[in-house]
Amino acid sequence: MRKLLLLLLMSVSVLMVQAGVYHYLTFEKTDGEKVSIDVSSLTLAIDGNTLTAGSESFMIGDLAKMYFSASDETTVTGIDTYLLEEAAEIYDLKGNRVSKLQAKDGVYVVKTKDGNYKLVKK
Amino acid sequence: MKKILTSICALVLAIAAGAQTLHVKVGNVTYLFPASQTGDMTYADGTALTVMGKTFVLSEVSGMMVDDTPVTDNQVDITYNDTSAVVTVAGNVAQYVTPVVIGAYVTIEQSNTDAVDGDEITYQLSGKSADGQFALSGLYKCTIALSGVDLTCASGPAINIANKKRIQLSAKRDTENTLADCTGGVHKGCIYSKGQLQLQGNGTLNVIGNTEHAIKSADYIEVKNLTLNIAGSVGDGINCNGYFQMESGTLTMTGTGDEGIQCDLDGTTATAATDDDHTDEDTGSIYIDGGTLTVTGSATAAKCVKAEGDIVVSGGAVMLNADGDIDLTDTSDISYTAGFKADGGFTQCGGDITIVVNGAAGRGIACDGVFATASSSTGVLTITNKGATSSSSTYFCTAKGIKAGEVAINGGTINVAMAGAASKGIKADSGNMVISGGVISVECTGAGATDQTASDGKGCAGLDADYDMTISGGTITLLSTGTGGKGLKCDSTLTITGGVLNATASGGNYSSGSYSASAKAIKAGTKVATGESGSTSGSSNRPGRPGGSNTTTYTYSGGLVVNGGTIIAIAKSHEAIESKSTITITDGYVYAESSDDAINSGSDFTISGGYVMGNSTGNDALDANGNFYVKGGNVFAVAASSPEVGFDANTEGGYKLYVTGGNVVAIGGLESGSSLSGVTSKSASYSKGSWYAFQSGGATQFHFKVPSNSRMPSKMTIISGSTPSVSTASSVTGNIWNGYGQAD
Repeated sequence: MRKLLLLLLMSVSVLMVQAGVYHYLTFEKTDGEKVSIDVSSLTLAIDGNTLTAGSESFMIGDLAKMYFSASDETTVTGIDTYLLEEAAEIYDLKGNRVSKLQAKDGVYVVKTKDGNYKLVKK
Repeated sequence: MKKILTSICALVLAIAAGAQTLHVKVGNVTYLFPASQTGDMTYADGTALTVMGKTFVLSEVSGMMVDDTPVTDNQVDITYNDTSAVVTVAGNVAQYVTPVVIGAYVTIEQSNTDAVDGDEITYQLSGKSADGQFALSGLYKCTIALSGVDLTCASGPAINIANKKRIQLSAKRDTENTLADCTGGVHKGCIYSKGQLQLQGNGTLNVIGNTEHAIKSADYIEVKNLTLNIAGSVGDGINCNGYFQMESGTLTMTGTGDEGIQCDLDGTTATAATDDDHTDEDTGSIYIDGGTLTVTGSATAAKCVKAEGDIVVSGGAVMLNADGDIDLTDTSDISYTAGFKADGGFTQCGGDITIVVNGAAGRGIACDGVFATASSSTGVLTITNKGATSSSSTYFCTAKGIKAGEVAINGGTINVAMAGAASKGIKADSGNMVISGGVISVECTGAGATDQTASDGKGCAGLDADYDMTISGGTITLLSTGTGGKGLKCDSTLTITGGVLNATASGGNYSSGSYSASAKAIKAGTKVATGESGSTSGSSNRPGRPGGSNTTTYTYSGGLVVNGGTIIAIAKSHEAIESKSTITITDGYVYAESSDDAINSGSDFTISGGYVMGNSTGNDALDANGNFYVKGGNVFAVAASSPEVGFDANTEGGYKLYVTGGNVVAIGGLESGSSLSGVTSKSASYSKGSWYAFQSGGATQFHFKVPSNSRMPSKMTIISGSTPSVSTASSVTGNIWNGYGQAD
């Protein structure tokens, strides 16, 4: 069921990309962190060194790029250790279950009692 | 789980929603980037953002947003709104264009778009401004689409294209577009292009050129489908180089200050096209292939259509009104209005052309080269020329229907009506006139006039050739009704081998003081006095005879040669057919009727075949100013009563009539002193209006009907190689000699 769920999510994402429907504008910083913002009625304003997109603000100098994405790619940072410790199950993006102790740096889907998260392990 | 599945379903439904577009706004220019095309949009040094190859200085970006605005690739929209303009650029071409907007003046610099899928950028103009402009420079071809734009530029051209590449200027379907420029500017056109212009589209474009030309291209111009109205210009309506082609569409011009359409060479020498699409052509030629062209030229000496090269009409409907007055500013180089004017030749292969000329001494068609119609042409050319004669002691300018260096008519239909004094229907002035086909009708109603520069009287002429004229086919009808008017005038040799020629001169002779012009149906050859012979006797107006005496000697050139065809020549006041030199008839059907000599030669007259009838109501039937030789053929001569004769030779000058063959009927008899050899001559009675069969040795040769002229002698002379006889006939069709004969 979980594998099926992940596969469905990935399929929907591909479909949305192919249809040209993007729900997010994702900003990637120079340190790799990503922030996805819903594009519905999105306006971006530049004031000096600050770029404001919706409710988010960025230092322009910290930005590497932006791109449209079908899904929210916001990086969850600063709580990696907590999530790993609390995670009941960890899966890589291929849907393979991965051992908490053996997870290498990369992107994982983490299942906890509070819900599921996308995690970037560094 | 159920919640997750529900979310997935919602996402699937969202796929059906519209795509997103990133707007990047810089001043009055907005760039639209479809989300599906943007990929990674990179920031650099905290100062710049690059999207789809276009780099923005962030300090110049006034805003960005995302919505679902649809984006048309390859398109730049310019919308005019009174004193401002807004530009929208499709993302896929953003990196190739640099727009600058100042008020309603939009300038775009474009680079090579060869790498763009679809290749060309389309600039779509809409909106309205009383002081705006679209200016384009660049390195690649593009399209300018007019989508309901009303643009006046108060300081230059409304559209200014410095791009030297091919530009398609298209009026979108069901839109009306109006462009005007300022007065007193230094630019060359309301629409100006350095490169090639293709004017097209199913919409309407109205243009006014208030400084010089309405539309000017430094290269070729092509017109297709478009409804183009040029309501006025200081210069030409359309001016271009290389070539001009109208493929289709409707083009209407009025109020032009110079020519309607003018095309010149781009380089110094002509370069022919490398294919049928005019590729690489630089000839200064104009091609009308289709569509409807209407031009009214009112400026002094204006030409509706003028080409430095050739003009070719192969289709379409052309209506030209040449109303401009004559230009006498420099009487050594007088200029006239014209419908078509070509420095090269003019050719009609098809299409319908109607030309009305009202300007003094104007021309319907003028070309320095060859005026030609194709043998396969179904085209119709109609010229109505009311241009008056303009003259003084130093110039004499008459109107022409068609004036060309040479004339070659091989097909089609030509109708010319001339009203000016001494005007000419179709004239070849530096080469020959050759007619092999077609249906030609020329009517001249103008009176004669005095040409003070030549000390001579001049009359109209339907066909006028300064050199040789050859008629081998076609049907030609010529009517001149004014004083001194001629049906056909050829100053050299007129050779007729086929076709049908009807020539009528119904006017009286022109006379003014010592100047005169004779109204003849057909006149050929020249006779020039070369000096005095100093002999003892003889008429001064006859060729010098051996041992005789004449006070004047002449040089004869040209003349009339008939080897076939059908000729009907009728003149009211002078000879129906006159050659200033010799006449030679070997075949064909010739009928001449006049109150003067029916047929007269300035030198020898020879008939050796064919069917010849001369019908004079007041003079000799057939008259030679030299020797007259009847060697063959079927000849019917009807003279007025004595002293006129059926056959007259210049016996006063020592010449003679020699009859050695043929079948001859002479009402009025033969010139005294005639020599008959190998033939038998008899006298016979006749009744006016009756048909007779001519027999030679008992075999019928032809039938003839005696005219009912008021002055006719009572007997006729019949001559043949075998015993001649005539017998009354009935049920005769009358298929030759204007109904007076039947060839058996």
